[in-house]
Amino acid sequence: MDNIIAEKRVLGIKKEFLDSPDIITKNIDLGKKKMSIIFIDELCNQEEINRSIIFPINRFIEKDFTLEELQDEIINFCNAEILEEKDIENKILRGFAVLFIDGDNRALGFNTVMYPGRGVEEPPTSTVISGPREGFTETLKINLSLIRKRLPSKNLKVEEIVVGRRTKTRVNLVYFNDIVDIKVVDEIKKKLSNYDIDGVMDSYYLVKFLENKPNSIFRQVGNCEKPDIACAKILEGRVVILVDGTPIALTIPYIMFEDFQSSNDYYSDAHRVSILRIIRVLGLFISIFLPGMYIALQLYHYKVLPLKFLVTIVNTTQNLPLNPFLEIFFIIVLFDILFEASVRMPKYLGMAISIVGALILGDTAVKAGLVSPPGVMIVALSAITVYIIPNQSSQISLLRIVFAIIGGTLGFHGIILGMLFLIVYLCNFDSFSTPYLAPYTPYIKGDLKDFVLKDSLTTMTSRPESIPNKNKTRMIRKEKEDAKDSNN
Amino acid sequence: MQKTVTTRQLIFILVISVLTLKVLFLPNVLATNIGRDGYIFLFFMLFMDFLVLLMLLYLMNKYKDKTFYEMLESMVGKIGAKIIMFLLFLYFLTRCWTRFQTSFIYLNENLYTSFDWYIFAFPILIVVVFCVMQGIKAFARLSEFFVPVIIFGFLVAFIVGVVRADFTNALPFLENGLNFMLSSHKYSLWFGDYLILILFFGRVKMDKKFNLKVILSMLSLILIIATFYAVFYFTYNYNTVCHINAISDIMQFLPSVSDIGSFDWILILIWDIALFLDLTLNTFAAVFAFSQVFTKKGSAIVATIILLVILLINYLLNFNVFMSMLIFRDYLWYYNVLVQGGIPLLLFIIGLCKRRKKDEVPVAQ
Amino acid sequence: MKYLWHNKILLVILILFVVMFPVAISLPQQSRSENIVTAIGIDKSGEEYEVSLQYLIPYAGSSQDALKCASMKGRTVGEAIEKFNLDFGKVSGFAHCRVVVFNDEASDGNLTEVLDYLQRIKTNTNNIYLVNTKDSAKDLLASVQDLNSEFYVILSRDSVAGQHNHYQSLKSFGEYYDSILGPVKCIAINNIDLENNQGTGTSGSSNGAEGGGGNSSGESSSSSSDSSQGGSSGGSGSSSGDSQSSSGGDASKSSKIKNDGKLIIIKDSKRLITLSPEESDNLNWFNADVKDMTLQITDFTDEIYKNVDITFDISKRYSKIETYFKDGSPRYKLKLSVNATIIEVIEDEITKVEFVPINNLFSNKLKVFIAEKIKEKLKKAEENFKEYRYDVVDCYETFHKFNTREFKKYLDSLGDDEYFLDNIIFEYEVDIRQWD
Repeated sequence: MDNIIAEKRVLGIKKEFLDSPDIITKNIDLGKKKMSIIFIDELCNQEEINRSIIFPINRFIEKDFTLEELQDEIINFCNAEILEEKDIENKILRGFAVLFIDGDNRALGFNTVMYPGRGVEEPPTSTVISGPREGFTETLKINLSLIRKRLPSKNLKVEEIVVGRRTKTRVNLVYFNDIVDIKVVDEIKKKLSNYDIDGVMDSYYLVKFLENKPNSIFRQVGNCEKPDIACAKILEGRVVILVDGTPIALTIPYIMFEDFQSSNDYYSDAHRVSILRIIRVLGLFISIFLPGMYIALQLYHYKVLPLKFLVTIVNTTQNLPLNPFLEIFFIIVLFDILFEASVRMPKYLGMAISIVGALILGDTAVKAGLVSPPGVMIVALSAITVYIIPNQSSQISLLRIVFAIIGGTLGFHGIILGMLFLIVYLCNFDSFSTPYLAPYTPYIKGDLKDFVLKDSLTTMTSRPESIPNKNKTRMIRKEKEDAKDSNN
Repeated sequence: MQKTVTTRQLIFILVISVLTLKVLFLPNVLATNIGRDGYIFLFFMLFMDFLVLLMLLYLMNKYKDKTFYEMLESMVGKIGAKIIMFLLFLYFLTRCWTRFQTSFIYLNENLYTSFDWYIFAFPILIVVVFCVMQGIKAFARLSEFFVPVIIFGFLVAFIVGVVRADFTNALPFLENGLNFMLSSHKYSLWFGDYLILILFFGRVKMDKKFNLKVILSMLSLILIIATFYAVFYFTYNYNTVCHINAISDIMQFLPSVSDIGSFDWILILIWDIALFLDLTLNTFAAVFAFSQVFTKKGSAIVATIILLVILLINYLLNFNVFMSMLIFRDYLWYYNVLVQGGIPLLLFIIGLCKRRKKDEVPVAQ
Repeated sequence: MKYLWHNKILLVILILFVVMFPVAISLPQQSRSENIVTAIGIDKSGEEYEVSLQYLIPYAGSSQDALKCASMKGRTVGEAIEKFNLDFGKVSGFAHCRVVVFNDEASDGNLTEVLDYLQRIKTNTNNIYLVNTKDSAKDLLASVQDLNSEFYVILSRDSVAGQHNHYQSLKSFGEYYDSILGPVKCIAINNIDLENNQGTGTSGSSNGAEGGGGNSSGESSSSSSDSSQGGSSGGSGSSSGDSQSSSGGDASKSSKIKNDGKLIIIKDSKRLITLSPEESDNLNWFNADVKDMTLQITDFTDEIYKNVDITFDISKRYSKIETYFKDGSPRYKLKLSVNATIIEVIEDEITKVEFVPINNLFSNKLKVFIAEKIKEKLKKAEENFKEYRYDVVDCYETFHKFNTREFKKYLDSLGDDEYFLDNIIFEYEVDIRQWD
């Protein structure tokens, strides 16, 4: 034991880190025993190290300390922990300052992490009119604190898993121990441990590990960017997965209808929300089926159009060089190109692109007789409604092309067959013991209170049955209980 | 056997099986052959079918954890079970065939100017096989997904009919007596829907009031179907014979829809779904019966073969649903009556006898 | 490929795409390959039918509609329409057809035979209206230029003609077949005529009709309708077509659609009689569904009015029909309850320049007078349908439904159902209510 020299160990570690200039080492000479401290410059708060570690040690010079004494008596640092030799490298990489002492092969680690990062802001994809505006950030610690702040309960369990050989990304599973179905947690852990990947850059990497059918275009894992939504989901019995380095938290189990619900729904009047949700469902149908139906109408079923409507369509499409399918397909591709360009462009250019796209390209194409105004209107309507449910936009925009092709080949009957194919596929899409289309099919009566027609919050006394959980009661109405007691 | 189908799903599946064809071409056939009092005939036939439902429900309750085939084996032995399953397989094969044909004629008449048979047949074949691949649980959920829409569409048509019908057309009541009852066997093609329950033996999560729910919902369905016929006939009276497709034709005189178009095509699309579900359901039953007799593997392959056989029969014989109805009426009705009524009755009696035997045992001891 | 095999759904989608995409891009727009027919005219001349189709002509970039009419002769209606299809290179699509117009000669023959082709085609024709015209269906259709024209306003269900004024006007295919398949086989069909001031329309059309078969016939006759639109859009016909177009234009300008409430009675698929507007009006009193009727009484005198002609607006009527047998003879009792409002009072001799007060109560005398007037009209209608033996008031049906056995005996005693109206005794009870 005596031949363990702190300075040498530190130098050894620095060498292992390829003598990177941002690895800072410092020797502290205490007389009898020498100490060395090592940390990575960019990850640590140097001021904290000076104030809380080096300064207290220097006061007790000439004394003979063990690591335990240092931890308990000398250093005034709550996040100090004794590290075994195997953990040391990992902790240094995580932004710990690690203190070595002669004669001890262990070390003392101090959490002095200070990542550069964003503050808490409103996420751009989930802006709300009313309700909390805080959003997750890229820092796991902040994200966890945002959840903890809202759920100060001893039953809130946080489990940490490290994923990624090289990135060693911290992944936290957050759930209520007394609500969640533990089988779900076990399944998540099992699925995550199935893969040994070198790096995880975003939570989307994990999504593919967690999905039963990774090749499917349909999401099987939910996501959110706001702590209030995450907490609501935890309260419903879901597991929230926070991944270090990304503001997107994952929620499991996932049902399709989740995406029709917005956090705003819970902070506004239930009747209004019901109407909005009907519009969202309608929007989904419009975005997926409208282009296909329009093509089918023109190619096969013009007879179902009322005469005056037909006159307008026939007049506007009279001299088009493209057949209805190609026309719609052309406009869809045009819209998607414009969308892609405007997303990628810098903001000030994006504006210009959308003006060029909408005004010049669209208008000129109509005037030039390449496309018809109803065609542009149909695709524009469909393109707008794609984003009525932002989380589903990728699958919807793919499906509308599929249905456009089916509508162009088989007409309405084809669209119906395609829809049946799609729904039967989704009916068999259970993940984490949760039916994908619940609570509509299988029908779960209690969960319909928060389905398309939303009921008042006061009636939602139990947790959703579609999410497996072991504690059904969400709310007890005291008045009712009191009335019962008095009746008895 | 895993209980994968809920009571609600089972009821919806029965609704599909019973309702779909009854309100399509059958009202026209009845109007042509029976006329004003067809609703009495329809009610009678549906009620006879309902008795079959009661028998099957009794057996279902008695053999809660056994599949239909296992129940048959315990009742009539392995060979007897295979023979019955083979008879049922042929029965469901013919039902698949009629539904396939009905779908085609229905679409060709109502939605398309000229609909190529092959363009119709192969996509539907792919989707039916895909459904069979997904299993009965997914199908039950699919039914649960769409049947509310189908019922809604049906009720809209029904209410429109009720509003517009002239109920005095019911008079004179039974002008020609009940002679039409004598020809009831000739309509066996359109009935015998509850046999589809063979798929669900041992698979249903039975609610507390399972029997009551099934019986009440089916009774009300029977009443509604018979009333629908009455409403349809009373709306068009003598002209009913010219209205081939009851479900969409009843919507055609909706007032003040000329500016936004007639809505009957939406109902046509809804019934397209219903026909598909009915076809798939019968394919499921045929696959089930076939796999019990011959092989227990590869339901998708069996379904594909069954449907291809149907396509081949069609190609060779070029029949349509009316032609097949004539064949059934004239030549094959006794087979239908045997399967629809005979087999359930036989099994019911054996079931009853077995209970008696069981009852007797403790007394003897 | 191995990846695709593993991902079977993607494989299926890819195969479908490969198969479907070429099909989807190669299909033409259906409305381009079909002629969108909005009205059919059937004229019978001798043993031949001249079928005129009024169809939609699209104008690129415009939201207006324009109609064109062309005609073709054939031994049967079906043959003429098939000739059309061949001539135009397009199939005739009848899904948007609103009306079939036929002339007197066609309805004098077997109307069921005339309509047979249209009843049997795949398109649902049940809602198509049937209209009779005196001279030429072709001219009538040729005078219609767009969907907002007077002709289509009349054909709308909500129009005055559609619902309010005429007893059983605007009969559709469905209703026609209902009557044909029923026991009495009688139906009243609306008659719309073309009022020609100079008669140029008729001569123009006859030119078109005689212009030989094939293309020339189609174009020349079609041009007669293409009056104003033909000029604005540049037209598409030959020079001769254009010249006829102008004459056709004159015809349409000088002619006017006249819907004065005439009805034709079809019995056993043949035109029995044409009812004059007065006779139709009399018949209207049998049916409470007819709204907004007017009634005029003349030379009325009571304590308020002296020798006046009064016009009433009959806003609502309620009727109750009772059928019964008394002493072996069938009786049809019509109880009418009428809401009447005075809309015009004209004095015969103006003695004093004094405005007759508006809010006077009807005297009993006035009520009786009105009731008698209505009864008189009913009686006239009754005499008419008894004389010609047509039952459009559902008399047979009512007896058949409510007095089945007695009525059967009655029919048996007659020997021939044809004469069943003769011995039925009609009784009327009219109750007048002031509605103001």
